[in-house]
Amino acid sequence: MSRQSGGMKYGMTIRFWLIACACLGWLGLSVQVRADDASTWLKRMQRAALEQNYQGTFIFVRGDMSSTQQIFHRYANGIEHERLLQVDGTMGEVVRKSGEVTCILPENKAVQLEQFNGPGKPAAAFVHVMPDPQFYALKPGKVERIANRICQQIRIEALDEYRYSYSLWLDQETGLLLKSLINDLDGAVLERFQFTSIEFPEQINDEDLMPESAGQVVEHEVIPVPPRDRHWPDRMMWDMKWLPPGFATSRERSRPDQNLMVFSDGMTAFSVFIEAVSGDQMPEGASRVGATTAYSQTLGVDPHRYVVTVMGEIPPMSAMKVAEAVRPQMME
Amino acid sequence: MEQRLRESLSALLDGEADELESHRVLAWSNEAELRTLWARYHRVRTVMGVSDTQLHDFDISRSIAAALDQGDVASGASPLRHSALAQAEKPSQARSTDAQTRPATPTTPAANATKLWKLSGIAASIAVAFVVGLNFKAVEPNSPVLDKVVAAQPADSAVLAQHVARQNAVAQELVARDALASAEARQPKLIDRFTEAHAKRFNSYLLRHAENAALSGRQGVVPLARVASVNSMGMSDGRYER
Repeated sequence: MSRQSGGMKYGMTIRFWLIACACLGWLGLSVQVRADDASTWLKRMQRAALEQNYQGTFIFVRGDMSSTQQIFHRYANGIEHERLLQVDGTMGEVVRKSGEVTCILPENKAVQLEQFNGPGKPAAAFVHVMPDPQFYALKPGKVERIANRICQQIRIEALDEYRYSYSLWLDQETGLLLKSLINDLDGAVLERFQFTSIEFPEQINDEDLMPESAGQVVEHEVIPVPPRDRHWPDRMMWDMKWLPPGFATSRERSRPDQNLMVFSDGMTAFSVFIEAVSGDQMPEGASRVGATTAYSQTLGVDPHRYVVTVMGEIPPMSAMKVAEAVRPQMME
Repeated sequence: MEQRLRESLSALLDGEADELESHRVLAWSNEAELRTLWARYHRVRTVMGVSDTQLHDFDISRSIAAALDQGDVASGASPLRHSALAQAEKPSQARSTDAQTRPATPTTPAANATKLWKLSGIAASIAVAFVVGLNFKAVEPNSPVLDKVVAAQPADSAVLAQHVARQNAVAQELVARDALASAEARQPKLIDRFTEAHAKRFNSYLLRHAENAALSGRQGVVPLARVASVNSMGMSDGRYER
């Protein structure tokens, strides 16, 4: 009698634990990502962008203008190779091989951008930069389906009016960025990037990475720099009397000898160009295309006049305040 | 914060501020510090049981009824003429800071109503700015923000509508003047039409900037997408002037 009841109790206990475990397991599957996991997701995202082989089609919308592009990305033997191709409207291609970026634009002019003078290997250049919690709040969002893949949304919200906010959707399986929005200070969408289809093949073909317009005229685009004459010091150094909070010089990308400085807050960057006054400079004021702002202003007193242009994915007010506060260090 | 400013703020809350002090507060109203102080003063007053009918339970119709007792509001022959409200509507006139614009010592119900009326106008402008978080930029004629706040009040007479319109005009005028006066509130000039030369220049900066962003790998493929799409951004499809 007692053996029987003992056996029954044992069976019930087992069943209880089985059910309990099943419940916990189910709970575990449906638990949303925690806030501190958001930064882990971002690290995964950056890694996936480098190491994943993928090809797909995405739309890129800025304001009311959109463009559809194809992308092929390969990472093999430590070398990253990718190609973007605009498939509607005018022809435009960008090919990037490690530190070298070549843009093939209309009239088949290929523009070779400068080599990346970074530290050593390209992989090392992918510093895992995180948005500074002083200036951005990281929040996990919903799980949504993008390009037929399950994605986790991450919100990166600006904590002041000097920068924009971002929403990113990352593929759960690989961590790759499949959709992103840049939001203006009032929440309006300035820029949208979204894959409509994507696949992760084992291999990417060589021919897919070759530009369609290869073999045409190659031209090196040069931004005019202030001419060296006796009125300017030999090496002009510049002071930024004002920078938005959290932005620091990006030393490896600044080129003081070309009067180009780059600043970043870990999430976005802007470039400051300083040039001589010429006939064909941009009009003074802010020009906006989607999330990208260019603010141009002439400063100085004759004969020491110079044009400052600030360009980046920052609000026009930030760009204006930076531009107005650029001063030369005069070394007479 | 400057002592004078604090005093002006306090005076305004107590209904003792004259026009100069009101404008001083308005001029500084987008300072974060001032906003914090304002909120703190409010809390203190609430705790002390001081009723802030001017600022919270803002009953326009009651003020108007009181003012109507004094004279004709519409014709401007009322105490309104001498109130800061009316004064602010005529920016071209030299603002007189003499005794004429100072509020009369409240001894009669009429004078009280005048003061309330005057305070309500100024206070409403400030309340809008603070409560709604209005940034002092140039405001369009039919600012939805102002309409929303004012519309919350009972609106059942033509006189009220006129008051509303006048209040809007005052707020806008003050806002516009502050925007002009203060270099801090200046907005960047937005260029929305590109010439071909401008577009080319923009593109060359964009390429250079995109290179910097792209090579950092921070934003994945987006900076390169910006470059690849540079010619579909309205710069080569005839959307610019030649």
